[in-house]
Amino acid sequence: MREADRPFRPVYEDMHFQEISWTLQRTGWVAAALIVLFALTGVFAHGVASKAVARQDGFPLTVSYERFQRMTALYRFDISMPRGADDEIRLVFNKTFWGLYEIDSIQPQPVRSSASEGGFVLTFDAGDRGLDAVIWARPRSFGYAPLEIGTPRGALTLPVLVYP
Amino acid sequence: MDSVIQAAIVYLLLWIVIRLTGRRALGQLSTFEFVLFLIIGGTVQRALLGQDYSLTNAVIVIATLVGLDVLVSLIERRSELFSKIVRGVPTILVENGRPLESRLARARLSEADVMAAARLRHGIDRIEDIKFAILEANGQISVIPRERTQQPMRAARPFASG
Repeated sequence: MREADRPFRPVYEDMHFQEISWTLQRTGWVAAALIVLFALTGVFAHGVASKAVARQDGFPLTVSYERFQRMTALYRFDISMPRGADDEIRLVFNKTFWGLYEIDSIQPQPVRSSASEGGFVLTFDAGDRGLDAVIWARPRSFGYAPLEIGTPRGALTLPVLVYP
Repeated sequence: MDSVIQAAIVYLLLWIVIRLTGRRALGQLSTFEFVLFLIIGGTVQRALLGQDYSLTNAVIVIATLVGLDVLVSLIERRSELFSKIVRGVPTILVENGRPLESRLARARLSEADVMAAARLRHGIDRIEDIKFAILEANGQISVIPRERTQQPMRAARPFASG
């Protein structure tokens, strides 16, 4: 076709690029819908998929927590342990835990806190029925973190993924 | 360093969001969509600043965003492909009074949107009177009336003397 025979166009159109652009746009919509869907399930924290309980057969400690967390958001750790022979319960948190979190509050308040080789030790009054403690904490950085909460006799591993 | 990286990620994220919503969102914002974009801005603001509301952080974030925008505009001038990716390309929606339905559908626009632009800018009330309606890269719909392209431009008449 000669230049003179071409129909007049007021703009330079690139329909091939535009078609690709529209296709990518629709792919993006699907991706956005998937993000919303995953968010509803709790994959990005605060949902069913995020709730986790760490326990071991024959080990008295139980920790409920969220396996998916977001940086700087507030998260709750529920720690339960029945009363043993001692009047005190000592919980050992590994260095990853203390390195990752900014502690907002601990209820009930520990009687003592001390540093040990394995991390940080909080000592609680065992009370009549044992310990039901709640720790509120905010992750300060993102990435995968193998947290450990335990007693001097052993520890539970709490794998946590923190989103930026 | 965190602030610079966060600002860069947010810049990219916002660009993706705006490109995903399509040009319809840019040029034809309804009041509700305008409020929606304000909410998006507020949400992003927290992600940008985190818990650091210091003046230094604000200066770093602003400098990063402005710097990136200048950089993108400079690359756009050098690369046509990059410019197309960043800005998009214009698309003809109506040609010689005939709406191009498939294009309107893919751009999530209707004949009514085109007619609204034609009425607003040229007082045109019939689609047959539109020579071209173009969805510009900035999301606006520009309209060229039929008369303008069919009739040659007349030279301005000099004022009558005496």
